[in-house]
Amino acid sequence: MLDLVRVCVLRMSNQKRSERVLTVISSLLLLCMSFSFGQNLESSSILVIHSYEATFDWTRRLQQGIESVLMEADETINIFEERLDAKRLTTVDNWSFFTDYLRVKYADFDPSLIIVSDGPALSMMLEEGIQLFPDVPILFSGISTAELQVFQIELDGAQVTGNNTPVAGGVLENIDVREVLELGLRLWPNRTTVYVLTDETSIGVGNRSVVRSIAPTFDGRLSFEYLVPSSVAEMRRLVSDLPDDAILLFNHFIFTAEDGFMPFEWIIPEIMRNSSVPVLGTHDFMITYGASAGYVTDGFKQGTTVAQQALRVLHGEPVGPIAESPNTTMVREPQLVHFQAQMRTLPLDAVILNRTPGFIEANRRILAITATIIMFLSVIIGLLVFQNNQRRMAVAHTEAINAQLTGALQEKSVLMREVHHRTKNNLQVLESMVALELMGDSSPTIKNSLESLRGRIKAIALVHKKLYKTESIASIDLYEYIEELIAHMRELNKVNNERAKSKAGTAQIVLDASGVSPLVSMDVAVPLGLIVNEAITNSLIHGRNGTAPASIHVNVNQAHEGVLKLDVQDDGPGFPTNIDECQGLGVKLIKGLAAQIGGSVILENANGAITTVAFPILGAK
Amino acid sequence: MTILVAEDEIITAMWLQAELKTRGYTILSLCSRGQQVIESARNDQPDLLLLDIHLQDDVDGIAAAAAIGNVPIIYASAYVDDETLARAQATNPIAILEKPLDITELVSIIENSALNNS
Repeated sequence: MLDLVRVCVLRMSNQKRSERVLTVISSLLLLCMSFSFGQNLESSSILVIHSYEATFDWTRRLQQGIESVLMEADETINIFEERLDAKRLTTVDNWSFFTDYLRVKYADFDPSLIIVSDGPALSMMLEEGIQLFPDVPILFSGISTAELQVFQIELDGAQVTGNNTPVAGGVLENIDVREVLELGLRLWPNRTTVYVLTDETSIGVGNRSVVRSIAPTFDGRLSFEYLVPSSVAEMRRLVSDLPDDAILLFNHFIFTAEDGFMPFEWIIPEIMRNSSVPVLGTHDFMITYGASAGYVTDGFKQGTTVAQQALRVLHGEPVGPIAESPNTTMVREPQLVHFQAQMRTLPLDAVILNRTPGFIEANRRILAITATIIMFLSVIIGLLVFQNNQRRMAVAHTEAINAQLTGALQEKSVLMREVHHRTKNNLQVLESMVALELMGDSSPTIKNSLESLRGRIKAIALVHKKLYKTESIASIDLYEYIEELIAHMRELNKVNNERAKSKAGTAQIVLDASGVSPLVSMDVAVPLGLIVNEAITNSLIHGRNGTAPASIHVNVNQAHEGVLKLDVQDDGPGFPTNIDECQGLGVKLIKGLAAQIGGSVILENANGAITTVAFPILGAK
Repeated sequence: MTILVAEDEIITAMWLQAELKTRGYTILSLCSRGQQVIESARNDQPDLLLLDIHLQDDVDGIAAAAAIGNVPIIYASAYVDDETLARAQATNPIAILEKPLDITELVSIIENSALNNS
C-alpha cells in the first residue's frame, strides 16, 4: 500500500495541474478498490482442509455438504479447498511438506475460518495451526469421540477448548454398529448369524473389539463370527460360502498380509461380487461403493452440519456444543430386492440408492407428451363443442325465426282468403242488385249500361275467384284467366240473345294465346280483365258484319322481352273514321286502365276494329 | 218444382228468388238461419235445397243439410276452402257452386236434377 502511494507522489511531481487532478482521482479509485477487495476477502473466506483426496467418496460428499450450505448463504463466501491426502502421505513427517505449502500459499492471507475434515487434517492443524494461521478459529468434522480424547479437545459447557488451539466447534463422526445390526435384523428378520469382516490394522482390531462389546445385547437374536482373511483370495472364498441365514458386516477390511492395502472403492465391489449374503456397512461410502445397507456416518450431513456452525461463527454467534454424529439409513434397492428384504421397515428419511424408478418417474417423458396431447385434444374438443353449441343455437334461432315466418305467412294466407271471400260475397251482392235492376222495367239504354256493368263486375269477381284458388293467393295465370273470362262472356252472349229472342245468333269469341303464360298480380289482372271485357263488349255491340253474328279474335303474345301484347279484333265495320274522337265509356276505360298498368293502347281498323294494348309484365307481386 | 233457398245476404236471396221464379220454379221460403232451414224443410218438404254454407247462426248450411237428409242439395258459397269442401262433399250434394254465382250454370244444374228426378 505504501509503495502505491509513493509511486503516485513521484508521478504527480512531474505533471501539470490538470494531470495532477486526474492522477489524484484515479489513485483514490485504486485505493478504494484495493481496500474493498481486501475487506471482502478477509471478512468472508473459509479454508477447508480435507484429510483425503476428492476421489474418496466420503470427502467428495462432505465437500458437497459444505458447499450446499455456504453457497445458499445470504452473503458471498469464498471457499478455499486443500487436501492433505493422508492415505498416501501416511506419516506425520510427510505432513511438513503440506504445511510448508500452506505457509507459502497463504503467507499474505488469513482466512476467516478453517474447517478440517477427519483426523489427520485436525491433527496437523492442532500441531501447526497456531503458527500457520494465528487466532483463526477451527471447526472440525469426521472426528470420533475417541479421537477427541486423543486430541485433548474438551467440551466446556457450550464452549469447545483445544489444547492451545482456537478450536471453535465441530461435528462428531461415530459409527453406530448396534443400529447397523438392528437395521439388518429389520430388513432380514430370519437371518441369525453376523459375519464380521475386518483386518489386522489398528482400526480393524478396534472395530472387532467394539462388536464384541455389544454382541451380548443381541443374545438370542444373533450370533457373531469374525472373518479376518489373510488375502483377498481367502476373502473371496469365505464370503462366497456363507450360509443362507447369515449377514456380512463390512467392518474395516482394507489390508491383508498377503496383498497389502486396498482402497475401499476396489475392495467393496470385490466383496459384493462374491458375497452370497447381504452386506452391511457403517459409512455412507461403503453403500455408494456397493454394500447392501447400513445405518451410516454421512459425509454430506457432516458437511452441512459443520457449514451451519461456520455461518454462526462468521456472524459472531455462539456455536454451541459439538454436534452429534448425523448418521443416516442408506440402502441400495437392487440389493434389497435381490436378498428379499422387508423394505416396508425402512424409515421415511432413508436414502435409497439405485432406486427403480416408479411408473411415473420411468415414463415421465411419455406421460408429459401424453398429457400435452390430451390437453391439446381437450382444447380442440372444447373448441369443437363450443362451436357445435354455437351452431346449434344458431340453427335453433333460425328455426324459431322460420317458425315465426311460417306462422306469419299462414296467418297472412288465412287473412287473404278471408278478404277474397268477403270481396266475392260483396261482388255477389253487387251483381245481384244489378241483376234485380235489369229485371225491372228499364229502357234499352239503361239495360245495356247495366249489362255492361254486370260484365265488369263479373270480370273483377273472376279475378278473386281465381286468386282464392291459387296457392300463392297473390298471383294468377293470365292466359287461364282470360280464357275463363271469354268463356263466360260467350255464354252470357248466348243467354242474352236467347232471352232477347235475337236473330243475330251467338257471337264467336276465340282466344289465341302464344308463349308461356305469365303469372300476374291482382293489380294487373283486374285492369286487364276489364280491358278485355270492354273490348269484347264493344265488339259484341258494334262489331257485327251486317246480320251475321260477330266474330271476335283475342290474341295474346309476348311482343318482346317483358312486354305482353293483347289485341281484340272483330270483322265488323270498324271504329268510326276519326278514331281519336271515340269518346265512349268503353274506350275511355280501356285507355285509362291501360295507363294504370303502364301500357299503351292502339285503336285501328283493318277488316274490322282492332284494339291493341301493350303493357310490361314484371312478374307476380 | 219447389226450392228452399237459404242465404244470409238478403239481396242475393232476393235475386236468386227472382231469377228462379222467372224460370218457373216455386220458392217455398227464404231462410237466413240454419235452424230456420231445418224447420222449413221439415214443414214444406221442398224438392231441392239451395243452400249458402255460411248462415247467420251456429248451424251452417252443411249442418242443416245433414240434419234434413234425403233432399237434393246445391251449395252456393264464397267459402270453398278444402276443409269446407270436404264437409260439404260428405252430405253428397248435386253441386257446390262458388260465388259470385253464374246463374246460367245454376239453372242448368237445377234443370238437370229435375230431369233426373222426374
